[in-house]
Amino acid sequence: MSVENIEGFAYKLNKVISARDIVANTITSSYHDPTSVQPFSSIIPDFMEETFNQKILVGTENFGYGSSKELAASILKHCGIKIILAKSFFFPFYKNAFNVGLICIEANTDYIDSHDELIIDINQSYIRNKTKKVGIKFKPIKKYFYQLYLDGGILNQLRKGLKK
Amino acid sequence: MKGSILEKILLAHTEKKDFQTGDVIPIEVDHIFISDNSAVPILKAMEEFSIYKPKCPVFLGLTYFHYQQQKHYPEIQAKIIEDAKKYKINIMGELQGHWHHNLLNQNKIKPGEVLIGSDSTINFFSPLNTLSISCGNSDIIKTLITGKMDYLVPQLVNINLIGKLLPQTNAKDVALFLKQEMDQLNLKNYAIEFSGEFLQNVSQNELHTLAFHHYTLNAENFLFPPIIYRKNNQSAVERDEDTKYYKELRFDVSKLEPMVKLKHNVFHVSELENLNIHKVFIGNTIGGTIDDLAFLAKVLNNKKVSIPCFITPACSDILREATNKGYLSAILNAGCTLLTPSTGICQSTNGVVVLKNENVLSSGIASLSMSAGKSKASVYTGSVKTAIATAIAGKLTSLKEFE
Repeated sequence: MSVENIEGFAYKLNKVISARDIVANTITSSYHDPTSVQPFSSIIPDFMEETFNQKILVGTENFGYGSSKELAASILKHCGIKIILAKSFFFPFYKNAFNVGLICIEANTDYIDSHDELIIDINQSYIRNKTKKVGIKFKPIKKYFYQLYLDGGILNQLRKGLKK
Repeated sequence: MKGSILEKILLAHTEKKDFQTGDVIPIEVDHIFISDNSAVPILKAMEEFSIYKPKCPVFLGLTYFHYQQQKHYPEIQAKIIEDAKKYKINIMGELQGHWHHNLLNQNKIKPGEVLIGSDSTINFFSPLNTLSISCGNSDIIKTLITGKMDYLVPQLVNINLIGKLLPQTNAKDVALFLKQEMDQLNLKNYAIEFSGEFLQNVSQNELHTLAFHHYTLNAENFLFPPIIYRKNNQSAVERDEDTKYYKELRFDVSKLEPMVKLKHNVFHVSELENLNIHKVFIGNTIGGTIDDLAFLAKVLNNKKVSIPCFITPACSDILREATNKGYLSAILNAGCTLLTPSTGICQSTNGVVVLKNENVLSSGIASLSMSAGKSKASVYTGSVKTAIATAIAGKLTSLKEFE
């Protein structure tokens, strides 16, 4: 299995982020249309503008905690986030992210700030911070989850399986 | 985890004979639960993949609250019901509040079963000696097609609870205490298997209260010994005496103080004694059972609440029973306001507005109550006992002052 490096600019969230921070309003947000939901609308009203050129989301501990709802992961994918780096993830969020084809990596994010330019080498489990000129090793992703990412999530896996 | 309840349930539900922590294994699922706020994408997928015969029984909990502020709410909800009938899904709790409690009374869930749900509250059923897993829609859809879910085997921690609670505390305080302890260990992807005499000493209602807090403790699953079934001499899944766990923790709850939680922080009530509280919410999921309403009626007898106190029975059956037994009159005579059985404060659909900068105390689940934080209010969560004592005093306090 292989994938090209993921490159881009970082957008750092310095607080512990819950699933409900991502999906601010559980009532009016459309559960059946993730594209209609703006992430972080209650805590970062300009998130879409601020991340226009920064598609690598960088968090701290326990990213996405508090809910098993898949919507939190899917709206980040739909707004163009390529990858999420965090020191740790709330496991249901982590699984949901891969289930919708969004890759998450557990890494020490202390050496990454907003606007830093990053190259993430999945195969070598290595993040190169071009701006700060530092490298960060991370624990390899489990094969099961990496395959989900390559396939674009569970639904695409199922569709491919049906075609075969 | 050899010999644990978790291992035994997994072995009964997978073809794998040998697995370890960190393995992803396909497990057969006995029941699938979906709620109306996640139903639309699931039903769409059932149409796309032509799932006219789901591999296991599917239950849909209808609360009617999640979509109410949407422009096309009546059409969406009507389509959900129409599609659910088409795909032979069991509809539960239509306009009757919290469907978990309705289902509990129907005895459809058996010990040793695997349940999955598109809702964080599915762990409510873990005291029934089940493996209950909260998951996203994609996992549900795959299970509808294949009958199996991919389960990442978690690290298994044993928590042995001993002792008997003080009168002013309940299982909610135990959950908040355990949050403090587990936060220090900073474990990820782990499950807790409970044991100990404490579990024998409390009611089934208390076990469900504890079970609701698996995400408060960042745990994937809670597993309980079959206490409920032991009482009736029914067979169920017991752990072996020599089971080895990733960690074994033992806590004596007999000196536990009442606690409250604000966001990530847990405090002893005594630390915040007399903090001004503006509104108190009790129910629905925690605090809205018949045991809770009986307790509230007893405490409120010949007393008045001094701040707005909103009581939400968990479901219509409980509301009816509380009315028949006279609990409601005691509660209403004390000045409490009754809310319709619903999802309550977590969805802010019960007509009660939490004002900017108010301090609110809720008996609900911490993560859900935070939804009320949109108003910039400080939402504390605590036990039913602390909540009603506070409603009477008008300031944060524990029940001991009223004994």
